[in-house]
Amino acid sequence: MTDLMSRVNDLIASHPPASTSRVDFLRAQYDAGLAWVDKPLGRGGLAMTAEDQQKVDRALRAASAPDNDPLANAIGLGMVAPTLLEFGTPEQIDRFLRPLWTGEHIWCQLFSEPGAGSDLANISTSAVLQGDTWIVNGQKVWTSGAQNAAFGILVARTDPTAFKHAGLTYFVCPMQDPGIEIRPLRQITGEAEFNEVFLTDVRIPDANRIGKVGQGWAVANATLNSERVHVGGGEAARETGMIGVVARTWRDNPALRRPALHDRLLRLWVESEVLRLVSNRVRRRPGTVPPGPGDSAAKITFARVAQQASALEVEFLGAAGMRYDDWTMHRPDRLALTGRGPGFRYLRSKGNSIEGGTTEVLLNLIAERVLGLPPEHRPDKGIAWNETAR
Amino acid sequence: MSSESHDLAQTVRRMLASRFADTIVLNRLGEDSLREEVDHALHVELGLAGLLVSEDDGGLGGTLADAAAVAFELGASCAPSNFLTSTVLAEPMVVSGGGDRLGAVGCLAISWDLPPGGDVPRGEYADGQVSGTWQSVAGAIGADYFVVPASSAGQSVLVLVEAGQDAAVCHEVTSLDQTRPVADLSFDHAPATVLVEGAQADESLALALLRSRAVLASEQAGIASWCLDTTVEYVLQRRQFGRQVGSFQALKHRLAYAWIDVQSACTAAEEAAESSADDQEVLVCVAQSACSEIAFRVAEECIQMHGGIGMTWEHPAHLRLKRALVGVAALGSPEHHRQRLASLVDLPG
Repeated sequence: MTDLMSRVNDLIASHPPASTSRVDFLRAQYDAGLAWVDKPLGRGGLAMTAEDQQKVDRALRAASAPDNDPLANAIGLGMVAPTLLEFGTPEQIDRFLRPLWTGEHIWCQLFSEPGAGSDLANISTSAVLQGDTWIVNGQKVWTSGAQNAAFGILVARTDPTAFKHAGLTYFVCPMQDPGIEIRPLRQITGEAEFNEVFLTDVRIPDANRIGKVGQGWAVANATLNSERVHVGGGEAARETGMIGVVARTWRDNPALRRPALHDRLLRLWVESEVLRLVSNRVRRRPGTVPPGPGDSAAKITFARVAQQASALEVEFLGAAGMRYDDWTMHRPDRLALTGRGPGFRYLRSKGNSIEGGTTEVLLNLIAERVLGLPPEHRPDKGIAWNETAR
Repeated sequence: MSSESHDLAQTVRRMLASRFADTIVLNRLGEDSLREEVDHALHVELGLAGLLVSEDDGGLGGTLADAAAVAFELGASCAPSNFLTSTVLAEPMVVSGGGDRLGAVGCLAISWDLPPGGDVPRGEYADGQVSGTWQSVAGAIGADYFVVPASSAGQSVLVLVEAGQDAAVCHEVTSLDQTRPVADLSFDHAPATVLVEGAQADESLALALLRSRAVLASEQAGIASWCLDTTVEYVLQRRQFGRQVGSFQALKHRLAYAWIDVQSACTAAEEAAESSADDQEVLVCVAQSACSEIAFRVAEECIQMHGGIGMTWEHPAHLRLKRALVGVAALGSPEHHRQRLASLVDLPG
């Protein structure tokens, strides 16, 4: 432990935050193994625990060191990094991981398609190998932050004659390729957090393939299971998230309080606190324990509680709750689940039970993988993808 | 959970599995003798008497987490036992109050629906005698002694009353929860000795109640856990319309929600039992609000998904449903605990 703190002190001494550029400091932090100490040596970590990272973060904050602005690269940090560490070659990890962590490269996710939402394995974007380059054609959707991204993680069909899960391959797609067209997709909140991405003869070198050809489904699952967002790195404090916002509104408006809403608020407070305790246990779990279907539980509850709490806030506020801050179309560059006004918060929260696996699909996952109940009927099972009805 | 608590739970689980095969044994022996048998096995054979009493006072010096682990198993098996009302609630008060009653069965004279945070209804104590009445007291049947909160010339006292005297009547009633029956107490100038008085009496009582609420939450997590496991087993075995009923998505989703509930209850109860003193009351209110509702909800799902068989006297599910329903109000309802929470976390109504 003293060894860890002396590393932190060495970093601050060799790169004084006041006189070091942000990127230089973050690169040095990564090289010192202090980026995410629970990750392996040489990969920005020291093979320690996530708890140790909190100590590092506290010490760095106290020294006014910059952070890597995790909210601006939530997909990179939370989903791409664990996938690279599990399936990337040493060369790929060396090339991608450091600029990912420092935020020099923002990442986006090219998974869902108009015809492949919950049934992700049904994607039809094709990748065909020509020499040592894959030629990719298709359309992706719900791509947050595509306009800012250097790279996208892409799942494409490399063998249409195989079963749907078997014909997929996972790539790192350079977003500056001239074959990429990004169109904003406006949401019910008024803003365009998402994009549609059209891929026309996009060229991806075979060196950017993550995992084996045909292994894309397994790699994509590693990504989806890692969707416990890395934001903040440590354990959440009480009243973090939507319940904290709503509790503050309650405290600030004594004249609006009424008994029935009070019990609803307290019930949501209890549920948020239990969710926090459950999530902190997941975060405290050693990195050697892979995320599994059981972790979906936290996501289901998170979505429900966020929706109910933010709806309660609108109802509680009455006249003030009838207004909306701004319908102008913006393209935000970071996730803001608890930002802006109550109306926005509620509308945005409706996406929580859809994005990253709908609540219904996650319930199936728990029922089948955790409880061992029989699987749903799947008419496309055991049939070559190009022969299934779509 | 620590490995000691875990081992303790395993031992208790094995004992309960061998002694108490649900309704068959209950119907044959009756609640009274079965409770005596279970408590003898628990306290004498496994040596858990004095679990929460310090080693200096001749007890085991166990942790609240140990008691919670035992209660989880007792909840899952729904075995009749005075572990919660005596070993967890009454015994530490008596021993810390200087009474040497280790291993005897104690009962705190409170109505079992006593809410948190308010005044505790008290008997009147004067000249070595206590009087008072209490309705629906859990753990009174079979008790060797009672710990009685009382007032003595305007000051709080906790006094000890021996059971079985004419002046201390324990009137059995027909209880909704067959495996934790309640009784009415009526004390009329019952001979009593003072255990502790003044602020110390209030503190001792408040602490014992708080710790018991944490252990009750764990018992409720145990009920929910048994109900889920048993239901999953049943829907995999039961076939209708040519398929396992567990293959219907209408049931799968509800069971997945029940699983989330059980995970939440287990976590909330464990955190309440393991928390540091300064945060314990918040976490106990959280656990009591969450666990009692979850136990009842999952027990209801258990009955519903068992179909007709779940409505039968033979099937053990109804014991959990009754314990869970009565448990919603036990030691204060979820709403009571949320109201208490409101004052603890600055969310006034």
